[in-house]
Amino acid sequence: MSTWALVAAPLAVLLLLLARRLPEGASRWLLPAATGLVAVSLWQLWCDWKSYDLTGGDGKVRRIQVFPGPLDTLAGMVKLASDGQMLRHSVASLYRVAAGFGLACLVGVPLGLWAGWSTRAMQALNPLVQALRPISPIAWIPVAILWFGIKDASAIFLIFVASIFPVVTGTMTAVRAIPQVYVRSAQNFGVRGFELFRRVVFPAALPQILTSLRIALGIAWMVIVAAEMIAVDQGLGYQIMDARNANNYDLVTASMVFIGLIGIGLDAALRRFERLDEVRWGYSKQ
Amino acid sequence: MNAPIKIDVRGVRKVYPLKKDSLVALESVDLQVAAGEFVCLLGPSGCGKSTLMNLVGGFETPDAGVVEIDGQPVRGPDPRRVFVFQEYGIFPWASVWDNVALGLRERPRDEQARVVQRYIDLVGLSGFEKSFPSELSGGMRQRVAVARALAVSPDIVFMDEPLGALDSLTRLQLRAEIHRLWKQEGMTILFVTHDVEEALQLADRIVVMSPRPGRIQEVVEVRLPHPRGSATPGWAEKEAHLYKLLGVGR
Repeated sequence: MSTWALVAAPLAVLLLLLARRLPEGASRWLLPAATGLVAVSLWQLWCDWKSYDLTGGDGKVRRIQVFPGPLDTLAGMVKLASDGQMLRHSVASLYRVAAGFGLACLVGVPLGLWAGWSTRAMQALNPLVQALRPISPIAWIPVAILWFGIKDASAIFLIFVASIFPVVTGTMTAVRAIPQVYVRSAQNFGVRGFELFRRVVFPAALPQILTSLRIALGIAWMVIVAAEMIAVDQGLGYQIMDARNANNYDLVTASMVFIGLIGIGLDAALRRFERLDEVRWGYSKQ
Repeated sequence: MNAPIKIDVRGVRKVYPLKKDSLVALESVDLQVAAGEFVCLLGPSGCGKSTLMNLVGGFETPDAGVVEIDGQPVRGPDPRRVFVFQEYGIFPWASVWDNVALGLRERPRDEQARVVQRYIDLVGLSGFEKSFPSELSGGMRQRVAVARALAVSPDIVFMDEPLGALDSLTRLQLRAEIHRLWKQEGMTILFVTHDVEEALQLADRIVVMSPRPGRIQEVVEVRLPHPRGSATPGWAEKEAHLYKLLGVGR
């Protein structure tokens, strides 16, 4: 069937076993490619194993594939990309994530700064945040529909709910971890009130806040499929539901791969900020 | 002492509550420091020398006794009396320039620029204005901390083991520079260290402290001509005396 997978998988495994001997520059690209190749090969072999022969009424034997393989998925991706559907759905999803995640940051970062700074604020706020945090965004779907109707706003709300708690918790933890010496030296030079926040608390916590934003954005993007199960008519989540209803499973897996690829892009975009001089100190081990 | 009294500590006691009982960090401490004097607080870890400095600096309040500066009780930290911490005191998210400018936020721009540049030059960091602390060596970072402190023309500079994290060569070099800057600027310096040689080289007087409870054991007048070293007449006797006070046999 798929002899390529039987050849590619061992080659990729061999490459991984030789990882230590690869030159630094090459390993950065070869290793992830090899891991990917192993995964794709296993996927292909799994599909082959699960497919079976069916003898039709006309006596002809047909190979029935239960599950779309990597090549079908690739074809699906090409189809979606070429007819413009991909772009339309991605833009719709990205817009919702931007709105929901953006709101979560606007609300969550100040709340986290406040709760991290003031012990009383933390005592008041933290139990509620920690109680709401483990509730799955999917559980909020009925609530979202009641509050916002079957509209964009519902999906945005779900993404907001999914991402605000990690933002608040991460920011709060970041502020509480600020070494006292920074605050003391600022107070020593007469920095107080809002200026203390702007000049010291926020910049001192920023590297860790950025990390929590990366985690939260990952969650927000993950929730997009659930959020778009509410009857919206575009978006990657909608596309998955729509393809499933039409029995186009190759388009389901194609959309899944697109979601993963865009997720990598989003994370890489946020990681770019980590290179700025203002936060870089927070990640290097010196 | 002809100069007026700058720092006046009388009968100070400081207790930290622990889980079960409490730790007496300082017990009946009396200390007077004249304006323009260089005083070292010397002692082993846990003798309360940093606590004493934090009390004088206004970051903590005594449980008994009074701490006065210029005859006024200390109410809190004040930009006229600044700290140089052992490490991490400067902001890693700000450039050398912005760090040094911290205490000059309310000055007019041109004055700010002039003063910042002057002190960056003074500590020998010209050319590193735009660098970030992570790009500097430990010694250079401490120079930034010193420049930031001096830029506000403080009356008193508190130095809490400022050279403790540096390698020995850098330490010697910065020690000489701190002495030069003190001569030049004329402020009062309270300097915490556990290095006998460092104290002998820098201080007018050395306050030897002992732990549990933290108290002043003896105040040693140094009165040796600068620049000082182990070859300076009188050095060896003082050194031996200090080591004896600290309970280190030599």
